[in-house]
Amino acid sequence: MTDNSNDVSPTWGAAGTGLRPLLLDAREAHQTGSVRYLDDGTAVLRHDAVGELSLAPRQQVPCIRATFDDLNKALSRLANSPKLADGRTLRDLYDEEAGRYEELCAEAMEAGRFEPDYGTYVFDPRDQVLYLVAPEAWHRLALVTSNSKLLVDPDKSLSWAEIRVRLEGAVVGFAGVSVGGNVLEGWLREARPKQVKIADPDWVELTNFNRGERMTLRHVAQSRASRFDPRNSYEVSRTSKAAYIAYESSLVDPYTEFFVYEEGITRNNLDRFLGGEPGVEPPIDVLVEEMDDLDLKVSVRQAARRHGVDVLMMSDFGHRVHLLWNPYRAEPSGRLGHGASDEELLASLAATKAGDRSKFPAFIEALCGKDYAGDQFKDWLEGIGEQPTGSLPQSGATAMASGAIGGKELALHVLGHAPPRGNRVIYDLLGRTAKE
Amino acid sequence: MIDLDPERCYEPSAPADVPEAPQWAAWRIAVLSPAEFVALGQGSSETPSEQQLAYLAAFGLLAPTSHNTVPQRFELRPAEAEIRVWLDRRAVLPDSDPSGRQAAISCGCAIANVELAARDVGLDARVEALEVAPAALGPLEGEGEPYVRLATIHLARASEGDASPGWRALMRRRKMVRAEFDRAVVLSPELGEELGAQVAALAGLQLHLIADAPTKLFLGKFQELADSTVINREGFARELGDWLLDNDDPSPLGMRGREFGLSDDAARRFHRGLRGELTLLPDETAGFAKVGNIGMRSASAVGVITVAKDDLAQRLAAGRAYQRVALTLLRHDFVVAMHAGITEVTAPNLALRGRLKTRHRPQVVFRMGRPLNAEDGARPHASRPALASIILARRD
Repeated sequence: MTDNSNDVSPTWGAAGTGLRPLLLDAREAHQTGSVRYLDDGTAVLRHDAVGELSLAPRQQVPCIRATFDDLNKALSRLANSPKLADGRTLRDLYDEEAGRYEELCAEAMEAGRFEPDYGTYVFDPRDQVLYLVAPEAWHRLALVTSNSKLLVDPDKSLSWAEIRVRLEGAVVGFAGVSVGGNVLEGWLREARPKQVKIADPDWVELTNFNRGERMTLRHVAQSRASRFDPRNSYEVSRTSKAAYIAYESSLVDPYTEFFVYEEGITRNNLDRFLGGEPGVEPPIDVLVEEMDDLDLKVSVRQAARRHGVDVLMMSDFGHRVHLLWNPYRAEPSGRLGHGASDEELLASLAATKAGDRSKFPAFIEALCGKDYAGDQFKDWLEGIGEQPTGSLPQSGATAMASGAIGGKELALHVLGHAPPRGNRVIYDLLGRTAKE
Repeated sequence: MIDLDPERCYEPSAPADVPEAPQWAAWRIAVLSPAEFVALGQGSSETPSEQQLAYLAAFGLLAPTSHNTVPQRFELRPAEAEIRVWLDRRAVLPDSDPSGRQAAISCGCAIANVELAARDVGLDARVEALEVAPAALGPLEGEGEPYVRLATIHLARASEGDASPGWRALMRRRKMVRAEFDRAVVLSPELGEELGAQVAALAGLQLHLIADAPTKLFLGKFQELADSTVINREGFARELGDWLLDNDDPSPLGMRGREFGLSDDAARRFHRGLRGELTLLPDETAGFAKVGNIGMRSASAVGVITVAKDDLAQRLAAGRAYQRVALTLLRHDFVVAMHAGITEVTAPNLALRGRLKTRHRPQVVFRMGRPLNAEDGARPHASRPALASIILARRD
């Protein structure tokens, strides 16, 4: 029988619905019967969000043993293992925790149970898979172990643990997650923060794939079950960009708390996105602005300046990555753009909005600086030569480089490194140069 | 040649959004009191006078039409107390409206205005749609008969009824506002119900009101897709260019760029570029399509009128329903913008059916809201031809 319920949601939604994973503490889940196992290995998940689901062994992925094995290999046994507050080393803590896990596993096996009361169940509602992951501290430790202590504060005075606290505690908001998704990925890999805010009103398109982090065919369109009429090939449900990237990132670190604005940044939610809401969501420390709505690019800067929030924009113009800071915390009356006064910027915006294409370059220049256009991007801007796309051309590798540079820049910023001189650096991947 | 007495039937001055030139004189039609309307009549006669019918037709002229082509024609028949509504197939757009659907919907809007103006002055109006083969509604090819009769509006003195909300004054104020709306403005459920009931009163029609962000995004993307599709078709682009005029164009028809928020330079550039007289850059046309997307997403709600059957009767009904809804919204200080691309391009139309979970055809798609920037709401009205030019001499 065809499932024509049309209830497949491509949105972030509540935990356990749409794309948002459901997390259950393993001990509590076993005690309350939220997760129980049948003799044949089927796991039965019962929760208000999902009802009662039977998950065959192939839908179960126990990750904890692998996590401890991987940490065992990676964590240094030598004397320079990071020291923690109580004087023990990271390796000491690991040995203790791994030993405890071994004991719990042995007990569970002896009692004929499938899993000990340990870790966290993570149910992926999209793929209907039940993961079992290590407790937050150990799972997240594994995600940053290889970063070692490459990132340090300017004085090099902070310990590994203190650096982790800084990076984990920073809240970065990403407005626009096309190139912004690359920067998000850079930030997550570098810092593994506990909370992130993401806003993008658009949906995933195959033409985004040249630059979309973790975009796969799974996100191009929803399944046939989402159609009202399964035979109507015109009916294609799409996936929110903000939701897909939160979903994919949560399958790396399910403990990260994502605040997802699928409607994108609007004038109505801008202050909440920047300033947070007590008891609901945190304010942000840095805004990464990667939107294509010209009006909003200006109004978020105006709001960020009001809130004293620093703004980072990574502009990928052709083969060039432009790193652009608006450090409003340090410069509360700083300009909106890098190439003109606020008045000139607003005038060029008004002219562009009135449909005058010839004023568009003036707007980019006012926002990004005078020498923003170079290489083949300049040709595109001037309408020279073949132009296969109506949208701003974007090189996949340049976008990826933007993400890498942006992720590193955010981490440096959070650790107290000053922005580059003039708040601006241009990395020319074609000319293989960088200039401030 | 029938026309109205300018002294009696037109205001000497006009609001700031009605330009002085004669092409905008239609918007100065006076809202006559019942007594003044009676004075246009023939003494104690039970049947309306030609002047009275022309006065009602003057409001039919204010209705919105596809590309402001003004395809409606009125045949005034005082003796039968009726106005016959005709389609001038020369005004049907060959590329964007090959089936004549948009022209018929436009005529439906004009019928609604006549109906509601009649009600305003104490008359009952009953609309009788004719059965016309779909092929007869398309653009005129060659030297054939340009006029097709679509409907008859039968008028009679009204029995006691509800007080009119002042439809004629609303008709004079109404215009398309193709601007970004204020997302903070919410459509009340009560008003939504009132609009739904207005549409459902016409057989086969249903109003879908969409206010949730994901579905507005869907509609915005599909509007952009539809606009991109048609702009990239040479014939359509040329046709749009023919009707998207310079801001200072004197034509009584067509749309000026300023009605879309375009500056003088931009309007000139799009007019010529779409006609193929200069080369528009790809991002310019993409940007043009993007505007509709942003507009959809900013709306308080998007309305979709669906029809059970894509025949003349329901095309006219869809136009009548839309216009009544637009005027009702204006009464509550909401403005609207229509998005025809999504209804005329097959792929988005079929996609929209799925999204709305209906097997009925989306016939009219429009967004409602309040302009984010007040000056956008103050853009000038569209021009109109002289009333006499759309009134046909008796056809039998």
